[in-house]
Order: sequence, then structure tokens, then C-alpha cells
Amino acid sequence: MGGQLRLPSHIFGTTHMLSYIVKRLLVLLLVVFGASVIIFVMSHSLPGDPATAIIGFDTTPEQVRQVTEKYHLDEPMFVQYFIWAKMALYGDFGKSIYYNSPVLHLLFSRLPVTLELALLSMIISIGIALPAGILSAVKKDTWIDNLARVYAFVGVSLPNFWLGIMLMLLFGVIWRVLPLFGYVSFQVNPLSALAHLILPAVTLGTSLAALVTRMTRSCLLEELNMDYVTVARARGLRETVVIWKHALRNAMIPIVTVVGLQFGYLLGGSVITETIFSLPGLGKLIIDSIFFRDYPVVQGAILIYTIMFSLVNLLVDFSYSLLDPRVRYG
Amino acid sequence: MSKKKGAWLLAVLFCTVAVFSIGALADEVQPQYGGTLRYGAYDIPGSLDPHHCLHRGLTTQYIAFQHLLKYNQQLDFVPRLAESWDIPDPQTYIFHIRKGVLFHDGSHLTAEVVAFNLERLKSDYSEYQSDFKIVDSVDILDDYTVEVHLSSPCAPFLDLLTSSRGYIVSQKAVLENGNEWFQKHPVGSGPFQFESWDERSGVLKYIRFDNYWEPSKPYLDRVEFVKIPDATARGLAFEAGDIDYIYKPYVADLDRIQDLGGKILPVQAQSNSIDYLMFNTKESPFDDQRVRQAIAYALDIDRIVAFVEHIEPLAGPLPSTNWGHNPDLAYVYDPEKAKELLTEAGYPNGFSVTLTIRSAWPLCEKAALVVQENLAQVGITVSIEVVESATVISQGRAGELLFAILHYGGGGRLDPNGNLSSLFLPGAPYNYTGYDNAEVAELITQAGKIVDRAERQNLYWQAEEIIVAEDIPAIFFGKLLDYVAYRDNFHGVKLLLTGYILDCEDIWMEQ
Repeated sequence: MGGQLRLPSHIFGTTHMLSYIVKRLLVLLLVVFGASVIIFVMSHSLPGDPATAIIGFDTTPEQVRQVTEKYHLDEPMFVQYFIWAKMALYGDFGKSIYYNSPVLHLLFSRLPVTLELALLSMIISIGIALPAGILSAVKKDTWIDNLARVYAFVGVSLPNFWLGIMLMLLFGVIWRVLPLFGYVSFQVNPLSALAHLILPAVTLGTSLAALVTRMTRSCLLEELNMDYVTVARARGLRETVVIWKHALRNAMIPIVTVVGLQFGYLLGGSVITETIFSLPGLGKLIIDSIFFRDYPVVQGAILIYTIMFSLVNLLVDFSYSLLDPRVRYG
Repeated sequence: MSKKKGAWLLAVLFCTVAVFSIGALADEVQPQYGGTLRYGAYDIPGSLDPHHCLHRGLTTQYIAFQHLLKYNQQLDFVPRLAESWDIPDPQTYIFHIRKGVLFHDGSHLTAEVVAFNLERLKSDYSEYQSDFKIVDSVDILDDYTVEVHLSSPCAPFLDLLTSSRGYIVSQKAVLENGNEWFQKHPVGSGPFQFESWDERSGVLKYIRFDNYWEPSKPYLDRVEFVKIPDATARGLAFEAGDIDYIYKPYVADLDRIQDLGGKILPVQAQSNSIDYLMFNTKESPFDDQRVRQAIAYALDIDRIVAFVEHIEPLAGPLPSTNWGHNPDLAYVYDPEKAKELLTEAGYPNGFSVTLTIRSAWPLCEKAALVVQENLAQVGITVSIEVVESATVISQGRAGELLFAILHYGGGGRLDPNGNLSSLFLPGAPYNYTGYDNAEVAELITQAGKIVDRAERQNLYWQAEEIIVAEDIPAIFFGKLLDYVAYRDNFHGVKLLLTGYILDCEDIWMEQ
């Protein structure tokens, strides 16, 4: 979303960094505006109306009329958008038709669930993927490498719903050591929160890790074949220094990009995992809202999601300069 | 064996059997107090105010409330919050309200509260305004008598009051705290009172109401609704012992649930829910009555029932348990006759058509496969198109559905008028078939104005005969079933006849 890596020939200073940030934030505003228009038009173009979508076949024409009038759905689309955008600028995203709660309240009650799940999944994913990928590259063509490759293959192929249900069956039904459903906030009880989130996080984390493992392996192998690595080895540097300080650091840029993208997607919520584990996250909320034609929630949620995704992209771009001092922004 | 010995043995045997029978009987009739029922629901409604809730599938969770009257198993009305009622003329209903009924906030049920509820139901706030606009005025005759005047005769008025629309809420709670508050803090006069609702985690808790007007009830201490959206996850939670009651388990899980000591009940009960194959009677080729008749002959309903399994067969727009159902109706499977009719209609080689069905409805997909196979035998090539529910409904309303399998849930009503007027009156909300027969419309409209059930039944039977045997705007093949499952140490579990709604006051837990 707008974040492009630039490698200019000149070296820029901090003022350029600042102007880059401002530029990126302006682009972010444009992206948010564009996304809101697209989502508005697309969601309103779906056949059906909220009353019918929620009630189903028992809807009476009067109920459709009531909801239509209440949410201005009979106005031309640009008027509806204007009404929504004007309220949104004042921080009022309206009220959910289905959940009967203010959209902002709904989103902010769901956001921590998604954030916690996303963070834990990323920790698990990176915790598995980096060691597995590095070992796989360093011990190329050994049993360790084969094991990591099989894991990567299986991890990518296993559907989340299957893995989730199997984990539930093992840990929740057979061994009864972890809860099967529900959510407890970290602020209320960190241990219970962890117990509730660990299975969904493992479900998501292991499949994400598969991709990052492969990525780490191939990027690191590429770097290890570079001349500068041979030179470093010829200079008598220890292998660990060669790998950690030289090769891995250079291999990190594509890995960070993938991890950042994955994190961005996780912030949008993982519908299947949230549904199986009865987690009240953003993903399930967005999908339900689309099915129920709950326009205020769809619009509000997508807006928040766009902002978060853009910010994560921005952070990823900034991390490049930390990893590679040659990277400058302008 | 001597006669004396034989007599002794018989006597001992008799006593043993008697003792065990009495024991078993005592077990059955001696409910225990205490315990919690944990109910695995796919969702919790956004509003717990029964007068303001769009999602009717979830009204099962409104256990804080009660109706003025309810149906018994014979589909007769029996008292609830109203002790009795009179109908001096088809437009006037007098309700004698039960004395000594307390709401959870300590206020009393009076005629004024009932009048307030009816006014609230016909106000702009109500989601059911259209149903209650028939109420012209409500007069309070004394503290416990209320007289309702209807703007025109409406036979299904009592039926309306037994539906999920007719719950009586606390006037005091609404007036003191406002509607917004009430949507999240329901106050009724039911056997269980609202305790807490964690909206984010999806846990809704009710606790026993100690001042319930039936002093011996309820038996349970608590009822907790837990949101578990995924049916497989609900099954696993049941297996792990985390929940006691599953709303709509996967039909594939039913055997496993029973192996675990679970009991199964079909959700639809005696409700008027029906599933049917509809034709657009305004569009070719289904504008030709002979084509519709041909398909009725080509369809082997026994085969649908055998293949779908979880279905109750139908032979008309009402289930056989309903007093409005005409028992003389039946579909006849005769593919040869079907071919003859198709030839007569100018389709000797059949034709191709698309059958629309709703997504995420596995039983319907199975029924559609049988339709496809049956019609192939008479030369009609059917391709199945799966469409998302809200789209199907909007297409139906616009008259754009040509050939589809549809479901009508009965609207939580048991009066025959619901199905017949909604599906077959010209311009009615679910008349997706474009059906328009003046004689049928007159019969249905007339029946809706008469209070006497026998007279009404006669008119409905005539209308059904024309619809099912002559005009055939649709073929009512069955009632696809959903289930609830519960642990076998819970007794007295029964659903209200309208389906879906759990009658919690009789449930007790064997400890």
C-alpha cells in the first residue's frame, strides 16, 4: 500500500526522513479515502438489504422500510457516503444494525482480541521459522534440512480449520488441558488469556511459519553463496559470525517484508481460526457484517483495517534502514 | 410347581415390578432443584429486547420474558400471563390478567403494563410494528382487565401474541431506564432473570427468579448461553463437557452425540416451517400449468425423504400436525404421466433449466440432487446454482427467481394464515411464484376474519386443494430438519411448538 523501497544514489539526512514520513502519511490519507469509497460502493452494490439479510425469509416489507429509512438507505449512494463520511470525521461511525451497538465501541472491543492473537501468532511463527530456516540453510541437505522442508510443505498445505479442530480435539477434549472456546483479556487474567489464545495462535503461527521457514532458507542460502561470505570465511571469521552478522542480516529484508505482510493480514483477523475458537475478533466481525449487510460495521472495520495495514507497511519500510544502512528514504 | 408356590412367586414378581416401576415413576416425576444449563449458541442477539430484535433465530435466548398465552400440544391456547380471555366479537379481545405476577424489578403485572406493551409493539420503535398495527386501541377496564380493539377482524391475533413478538416486558424498567438500556438489560416476568452479558466474549447469564409466579418453578439455578459460532466446535465443547445443550449440531455429529449420552430433538417441532420447490408462474416454461403438473408427477418425494434423511415429508403448504392441513392431499409419482404432460405442453424432449438453492444449506443440496435426477428421467436437464441467502430473497422479491428450492420458517407462528397468506396472496411478501388466483385469495382472506376454527379449517382446506392439486405454484416436498442436542441428565427439555424456543421452566438436572 504505497510503501516502496527506494535506493537513491545520494545519501539523505534526517530532514528527508521527516518529509518522507509526512509524504507517507499523506499517501495514507489518500489510501484510506480511496478504500472507504471502494468499500462503500461495493458493499452497497450487493443485492439484498440489511433487514432481509438478518431476518431472512420472514422479513416483512415494513421491516425493510423501517431499516431503510433509519439508515438512509433510500438516498442516492453519494449522499449516503457523504452522511457517513461527515459523521466519521467527527469520530461517529454510526450504530451496527445487527449488533445494536455503536460501531466504534464494537471495533475497539474486538481490536485487542485480534491484536493479541496476531502478536502471539507472529511470535510463534518467527520462533519456529527463523531457527528452522537458518538451520535448514546452514545444514543444507542433511536430515535437519529435510525435516524443516517437510515441515514447511506440511505447514503450508494443512488447512487452518483442520489443524484447529485437531488441536481442540487433542488439548481440549482428550487431554482437557486447554479451554476450547472463549476469550479472556490479558488485562484481566494473563494466564487464562494465554490458555485461551495459545491454540488459535499455534494454528495460525504454524502455517505462517511454514512460509517464513522456506523464505529464510532460500534467502540465507543465496547470501551464503555470495562472494562477500567467501571473503569473510577466507579472512578466518568464525562461521557463526559469518552467518549471523553478515549473511543473515542481508537475508532479512525479504523476510521482514513477508513477516510484515503476514502481520498486516493477521490484523484483519483470521475468520476461520476466530470462528472455530469462538474468538470475538475483527475477522469474524467483518465477514458476519458483510453477510448481514451491516454497512456501518463493514465501513468502520475496513477503515480501521486499512489504517493498520498501512502503518504496518510503513514500519516495515523503516525497518529496512535498520537492517541495511544503505537504504535511505526520500 | 404347586399352585401355592406359583401364586407366591407371582406375588413376589408383582411386588418387585411394582417397586421398580414406582421407583422409575418417582424418578420421572420428582424433579430436582439446582444446577446450570450451559447452552452452546451460534450467536447472541444484539438486542435482548424482544420488541426490538431483527434476528429471530436467536429469540430462543429471551427466557426472561413470557407471553399472555401459549399453545398446548393440541395447538389450543392455554393461559400464561393472562388467566383467561373473551372474544365478544371478532374485533374485540378482553384479557383477564393473572394476579400476583412480579417482574424481575419488583413491579407488578397489571392491565396497564399489558396496554403499555401493546402500544410499544405498534410504535415506531418496534420491529414488529407491521404485525401490531391491526391494534386500534387498548382500553384498561380495571387493574387486571384489558380490552383490545382491532381495526378489522383478525383471526390470528391470539397466535400473534404467542409468537416471539408477543413477549411482555416490564413497563417500569423501560420507562425508568429507556429503550437503549433495556436492549442490554432485559426485565421480564419469566422464570429466569437476567444476570450478566459479556458481549465481547459472548456469554449471557440468567439466574433463577425466586419470586416467579409459579412457586415450584423453575428447577434450575442458572441458564448460561455461550456463543460458539462453529457447529464442529459446539460438538467438541459438548464432548469435553463444557456445554450441556447444542443448538443446531452438524447432522453428521448426531450419532456421536448420542453415543456420548446426548439426546436429540428436532428444532422445527410442530412449527409451520416448510421447504418447497417453487416455480415462477409468470415466466416460461412454468407459466404453463401442464409443465408444473408434469414436474409434480416427476418428483419422487419418497426418494427425496430417503436420500435427505433429516426431513419430514409434506403434502401441502402446512405440516400434517397443523389443524389447517388438508389430509386428503398427496403427491403422486408417475413419470410417464409427466412425460405425457410435457409433450402436451410442447416439450416432448424436455428442456433445460437452472435450479437456484441457498448456500450453506447441505440438506437442501441433497434435495436438489434428487430433483435433478428425477427431472432428468423425464427429459428436463437441471443445473444447480448455489446463491447466497440475501441475494436469493432479493431476487425472489423482484420476481427474478425462475425455479428454486426455498424455505419458509413459518415466522414463529402456528396459525395456518401465516403460511397461506404470505405465500399465496397476490403481492404478499413471499409470493415469489407470482401466484394469483382470485378464488384462493378470497378463501384465505375470508378465513383470516373468522374466529371459529372449524369454519376456518374448511376454507383453508379448499384453498389448499386448489393450490396443491390444480395450480401447483410450488411443490411442498418436506420440512428439512435442524436439531438441538442435550446431555441426558437434563430432563423436561422441550421446545415451544413454534420451534427454536426453549421452554426453560420445566427443565431440571439430575445430579
